[in-house]
Amino acid sequence: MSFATWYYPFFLVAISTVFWLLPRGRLAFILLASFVFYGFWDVRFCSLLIAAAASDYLCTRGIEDAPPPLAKVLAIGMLPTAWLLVIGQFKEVAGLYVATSTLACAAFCLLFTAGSRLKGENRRRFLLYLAVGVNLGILVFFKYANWFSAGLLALLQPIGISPDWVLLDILLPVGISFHTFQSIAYVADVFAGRCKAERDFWRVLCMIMFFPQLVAGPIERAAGMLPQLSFEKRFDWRFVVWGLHLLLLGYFLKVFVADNCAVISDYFFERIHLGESFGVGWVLAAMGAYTAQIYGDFVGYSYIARGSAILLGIELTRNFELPLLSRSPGEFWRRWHISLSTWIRDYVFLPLSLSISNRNRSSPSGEPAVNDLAIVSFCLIVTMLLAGLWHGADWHFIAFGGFHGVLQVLWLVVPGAKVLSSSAGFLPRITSRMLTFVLVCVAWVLFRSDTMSDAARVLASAAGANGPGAEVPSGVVSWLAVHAVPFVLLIAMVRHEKEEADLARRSKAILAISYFLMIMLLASSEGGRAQFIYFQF
Amino acid sequence: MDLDRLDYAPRIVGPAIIAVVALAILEFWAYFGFHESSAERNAFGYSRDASFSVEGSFVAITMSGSRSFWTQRYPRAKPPGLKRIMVIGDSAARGASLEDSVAGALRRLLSGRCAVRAEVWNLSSPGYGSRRKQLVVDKVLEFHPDLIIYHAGVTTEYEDSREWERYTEYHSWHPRHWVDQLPFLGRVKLSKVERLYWQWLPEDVRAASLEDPLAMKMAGIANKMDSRYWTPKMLANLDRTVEEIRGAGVPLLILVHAYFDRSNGRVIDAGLDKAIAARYASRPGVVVVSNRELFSSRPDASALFADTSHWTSAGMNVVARELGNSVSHLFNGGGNCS
Repeated sequence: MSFATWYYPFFLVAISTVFWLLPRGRLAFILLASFVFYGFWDVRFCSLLIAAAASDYLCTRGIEDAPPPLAKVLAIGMLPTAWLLVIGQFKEVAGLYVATSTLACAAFCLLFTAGSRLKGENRRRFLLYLAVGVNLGILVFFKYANWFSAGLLALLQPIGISPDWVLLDILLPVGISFHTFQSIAYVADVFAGRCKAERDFWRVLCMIMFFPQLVAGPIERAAGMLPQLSFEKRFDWRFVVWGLHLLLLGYFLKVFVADNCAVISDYFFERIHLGESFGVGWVLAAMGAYTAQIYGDFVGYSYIARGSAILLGIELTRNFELPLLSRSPGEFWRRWHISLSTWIRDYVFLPLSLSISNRNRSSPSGEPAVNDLAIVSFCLIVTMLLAGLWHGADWHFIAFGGFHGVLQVLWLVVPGAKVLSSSAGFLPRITSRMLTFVLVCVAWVLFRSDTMSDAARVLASAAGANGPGAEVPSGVVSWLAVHAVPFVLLIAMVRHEKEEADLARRSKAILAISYFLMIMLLASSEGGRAQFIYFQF
Repeated sequence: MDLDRLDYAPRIVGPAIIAVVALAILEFWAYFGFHESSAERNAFGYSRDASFSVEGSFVAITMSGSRSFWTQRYPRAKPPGLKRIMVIGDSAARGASLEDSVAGALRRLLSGRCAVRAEVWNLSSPGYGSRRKQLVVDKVLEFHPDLIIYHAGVTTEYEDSREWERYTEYHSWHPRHWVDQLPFLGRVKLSKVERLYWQWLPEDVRAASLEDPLAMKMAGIANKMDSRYWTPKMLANLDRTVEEIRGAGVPLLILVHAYFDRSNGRVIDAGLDKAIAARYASRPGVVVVSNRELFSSRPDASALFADTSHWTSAGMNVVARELGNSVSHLFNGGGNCS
């Protein structure tokens, strides 16, 4: 189920009403709601979520020196197959899937049992690798296998081999990148002692499946999430007020800003893919439109997720802090998709840079072989390439990550860049914001284009290198302005705050006018596109 | 974090209530203040009364409720000695303007060569097929016409059916349309669609953005140009229209539309003129004029069509002359305007 469907508000109202009326069994109820929510896409893929939760639960218990008894291991470890068998009574499930799931679950139980018998640090490490392997295995198989197989076929074809079986044609489960990262973070945090292993399997399952953040984050940390899933809070009318405030902001950004700007950007990038040429004006309009679209779409989604969760008394992480006002590419990533950037920082960048740095310092001569700046730069590039790959299995996503990595390194090494981004004066502030905004817009071209050659053509057209193309009609610019101006005004009003939701700190008159306009503009828009951009990740 | 922000909740309740009350006041104001309800505006042509308003002793015709009529104004009571002729059709009959249309050309011709004092109402709207034309007929009989010229074609039947589906969905319980049905916010939304979306965005941009489930549903039912599917439906509706017009004692002239096939230079109508003539030509008070017969004999047929369906000014004049002859015959008992 998407937040942008007409029935989601009804679903949310029904779930939150029943939730607060229930004297007990709230965890089971939210789990049921989450299964219904995810089942709207494909109920069979719930088995992957169960598999991730089972692996996380068992391995974290083992890491914490309390592996469950074998009967419990088998009962929980075989749950994904049990799910497929139950679902198979109502919906077609291929025998191959059931057989594969049974084999995988059995292999996991076997490995877990073997690993549990190891002693001390060996057991902890083995179970950490097992849990991370399960999650990465699910992610790599479902998200990247198609890409790898297409690449393999492209390599084999020049030497006259083109086996059809190489192309796997695997369906991508919605939100897989988000819940696998959340799972990995939980296991890694238990391993590092940053949080305790949860004793209740259903709570671990609920943490992974909690419907407001299931398909596009935020990527929550167990230390913040698990304690809340005891659902011990009592009803507070302020949950409803703040939840509605966040929901209104979210739907305004999604339906009014993103969906209306998408009319321009979708047309442009589809035509580019078909080989059409556009003039500089058109390219700039489309780049602006897509920047507004992806911002409204993802920030809007996050507000709806947070609003939905707070209606149930659950607090989700703030995922954005006005990233379009950033003064450097590094700051942009500290303010954009914060739950992903901090995940990558904590679980990729820091371990990688510490590991290289330690090896560097422990060289036989005693002198560091490479300076720290080179290590940080290398790690930044690698991390951002992985962040790009996280978004999707395609070269243009990797280029998007790589471009951001290079920008961050440039800000580290180019003299003056850091000064420009940190000076307090009006001119440096404006200049650094404009420069960062333009570079971010360029990066979105890499992100949105269907192929690298499309991206190259768009950027060449932006530089006027493709000769005269179709000029942008004034109506398109007017359409864009009508939908961007309220958005820009909203950002301007909260520019000194953390995020758009801090509109609540403005005067009551401004708040009343803002609510009035947001409801009116939201109502003036068509029903919205059913999907969010980040659902595909 | 959100739990820290709960303290803001009390201070946002007041402004939120003010905003909602302001919107509620506007809804009441729009409900009582507008002559036409938003449901009529969203009638997709299926409102009998949309576009017609009686203002004192005049009838005002405006563009409204998906009826893209040209703005016109006539005395409500027919002036003595003046004939009242109404042309009901689709975009071809509507023309490029009130003057540059079949109705405009006919009015000029009648007041000139034909010596018939007449007012000619142009009641044609793009995409109108037999169902919506029948609603127009039903309405205009209130104004006592002396002749109805009914422009009959088949390709607009598709639009009629699609807009009927849209109309029924809009008037259904479905929450998707709750906002559309509100007097104020519904108007704001409709204005945005009509004034911004349709007028600002180029056609190809709009086409790329449309996810029209009704169009897809219609495509599953039949091809727009499938005359074998649409002709029987159109004739069944036309039967009812003819009965209603003749039941009111009003003469009827059916102008059967034809198309220009640029690949071979032929004027065609897939046998529609013959089918309509066989059905109604023998009935008293009904005259059938075939656009195909009228244009086929002319060597300049290609100059009479602006595209495959719409007439040029020259084409309209040819049609108007043929209609003028029939009108002259009807009102003057003979004579030729040509």
